[in-house]
Amino acid sequence: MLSLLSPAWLLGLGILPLIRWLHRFHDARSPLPVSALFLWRTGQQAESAGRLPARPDPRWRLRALFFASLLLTLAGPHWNPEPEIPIEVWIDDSLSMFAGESGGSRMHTGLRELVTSLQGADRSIVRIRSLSNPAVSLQLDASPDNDWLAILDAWTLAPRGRPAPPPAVQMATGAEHWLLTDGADKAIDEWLQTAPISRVIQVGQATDNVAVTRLAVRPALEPGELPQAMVTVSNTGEQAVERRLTLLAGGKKLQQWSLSLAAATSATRIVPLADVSAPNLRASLAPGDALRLDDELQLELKNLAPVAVRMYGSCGKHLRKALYTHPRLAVGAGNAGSYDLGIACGHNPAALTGPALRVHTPQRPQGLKSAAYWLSGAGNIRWPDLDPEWLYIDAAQPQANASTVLLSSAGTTLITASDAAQPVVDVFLDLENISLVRQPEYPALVDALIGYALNRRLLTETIHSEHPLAESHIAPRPLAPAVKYTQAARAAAGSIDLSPYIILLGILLLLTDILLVSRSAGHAAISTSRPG
Amino acid sequence: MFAQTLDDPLDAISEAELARLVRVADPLLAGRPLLSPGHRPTRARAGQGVEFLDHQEYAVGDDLRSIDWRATARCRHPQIRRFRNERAADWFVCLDRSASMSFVNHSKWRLGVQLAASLSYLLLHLGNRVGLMLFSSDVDTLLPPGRGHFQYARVAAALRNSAPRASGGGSQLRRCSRKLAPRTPVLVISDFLAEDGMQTALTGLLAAGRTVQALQVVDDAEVDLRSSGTLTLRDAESQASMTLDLSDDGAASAAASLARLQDDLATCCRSKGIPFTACQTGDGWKKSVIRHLKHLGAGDA
Repeated sequence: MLSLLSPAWLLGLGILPLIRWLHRFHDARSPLPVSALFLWRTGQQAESAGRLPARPDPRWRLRALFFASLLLTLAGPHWNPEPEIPIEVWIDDSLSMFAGESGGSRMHTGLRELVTSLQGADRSIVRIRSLSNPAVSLQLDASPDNDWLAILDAWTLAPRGRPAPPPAVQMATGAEHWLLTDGADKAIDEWLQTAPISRVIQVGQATDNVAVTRLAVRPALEPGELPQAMVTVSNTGEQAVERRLTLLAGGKKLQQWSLSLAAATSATRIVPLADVSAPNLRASLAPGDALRLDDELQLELKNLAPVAVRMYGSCGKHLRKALYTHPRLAVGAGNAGSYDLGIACGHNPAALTGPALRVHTPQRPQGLKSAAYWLSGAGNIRWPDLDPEWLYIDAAQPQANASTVLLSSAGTTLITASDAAQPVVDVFLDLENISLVRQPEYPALVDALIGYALNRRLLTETIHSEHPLAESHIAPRPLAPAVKYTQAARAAAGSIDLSPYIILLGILLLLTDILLVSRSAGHAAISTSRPG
Repeated sequence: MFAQTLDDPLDAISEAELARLVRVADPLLAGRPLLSPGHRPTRARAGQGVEFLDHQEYAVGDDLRSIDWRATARCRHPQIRRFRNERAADWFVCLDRSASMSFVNHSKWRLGVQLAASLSYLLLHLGNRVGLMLFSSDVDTLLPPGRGHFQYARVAAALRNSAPRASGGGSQLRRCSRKLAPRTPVLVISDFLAEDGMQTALTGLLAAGRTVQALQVVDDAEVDLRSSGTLTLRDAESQASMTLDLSDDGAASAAASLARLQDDLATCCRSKGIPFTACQTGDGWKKSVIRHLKHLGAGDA
């Protein structure tokens, strides 16, 4: 089937009569001199002077054909052996689409409308893509036995995060793109400016929403202190609201507040957490609003407990002292099979699986001769600066076989780590040397080594959970109207572009015209020239 | 020596070739050679005159009154007296320089000039006096008859300084009649592109007892417009214009008209005893001159 991408160009064919009319003037303006006019005179042709020819130059047909081919090329002709093109539906499965309204969630309402539209479109190929994660897709089978609404409801059970629409150039050109969204995210409106979306199904009317956006606990580092819990509530709606915020620790009410929140404001409350053994902390708002998924936030307090450290071998007293005084460590806690961090000491420390710290005790300590420096493999841990005068190593240092060197001095490896996700850190420094132990950097070095092995910052970390504030905006925005890209999609869906052939035809016509014109001009020049 | 330019049509003519043509033209233009005993043939013409030329053996048809009885007695064969024919030696070459001769790309004019020059050379070397007349709507240039190399130089200079008219003017050959004395041989070189093929003018030249030879310069390309569609044609001489639709076989009809014009002209000349030669521009001057001389020879035979 022949299709045109921009059929409006064919309106230019109305100029063809003008081309024909203009060709009546051409030769009247430039008469061709001949040696004897009576040779051409017949009964049908009357002599005239300055009168327009009765008929236009027949070359007008050639030029009209060239003009028509130009217009046809601009119209984008395509031969499409397969007229049906697939529909690709982009479903906005961000948090706001799960806001409840009359008749169910926005998602369910939108899916119902989508299924009705798909059945009306009568397409057999329908692909569903997640707007939050375009890699997640679903192919809908056109079999009449399939309940598309149930399938789509099951496919959109939970939000997949903020919308991450793909660039327009990465979207399939051979498909017609539809979009199901509530328009709450600004990124979607910006995406619609460039994306070839043929149809937008927009759902949702509610605009007010209050969300628990952050719940965090800071561990206590000083004796006698309690961990501090902090909860933040944000009003993302357009009106002032009142809510009751309840904080539960392990299911027991810890605190309750009554909050009055103006539009687009946040409130933060801090409370000491007396029961550090509670498994979780939960904040909830009452009464609920359209989007209930962000009315509650839960935080697991597993990481609030001290790190269970188990030592193997003969660790020095200074190292022991540093470990015992660390506020986030529980030395000796746990049993041989379940500990958070293993520490092995000795001339040849026991082999441990990570996370672990192996301290190689030197037999014949000797001082460093050059400065020690942390390498890039040490990562973002705040490592203390170490003076080489404090550092002693074994004169007969064992060969380190770890792949990541953390601390080095003039080619001598001082601290290494394995490449595993839970690394084993090997320390070849003398951690019991008095020149190092006396320095304030010593406990910082021990904390940094433990932090590297655990991949945590024990002294500064907070335990938190949050809802992104932007996801809690549920007010729909007016979206740009969709443009029909059906013809373009059909052209790209395996169809043959006829433009090159028509351009070739146009070039041939143009060359023919140029040849005819040059022959006429050449003959006229020959005829009119005179000897000097 | 004459000033020569690259565009000079006379550059194509070499005197060596003309000298060879003289031997061919001698019997054709002058009739039987004049043989005096003990002398090489002279180029003087025998005819009516008062100056004695030579004796010749009597042949059947000769006027009995011209028998020289004294010479007959000496030779024991009938001898007749012959006299120098002075009037027949004043030839005029009439060359058409109307605007139609500028077609196609001056090819007709070039050939016309070359024919005029070469035939003048031949006539002069056969002892004739030759004059030149360039005509269009009137006689534009008149070079009186003269004899010898200097006259050829004058003829060549006149031809070099001439050109066909750019526009206007027709081929009015009858204007030349008024400038020509009776019984003067005339050599007309033209394209004869008039509606009557200039037949009336040729007949008028014959009326005063003149001898006329006609050479038509033809270029078939002048009716090939190499175009299509509707054209407005303008006559180079009369400036009249006409709209022509080439899709109606206008070009073919023009070629047919030209051929018909040539046939009518040739028929007319044949019926009036005018030696006529159609010279194609592509053939060149030499071939055209030889063809004309052959026509003269065939007429003599």
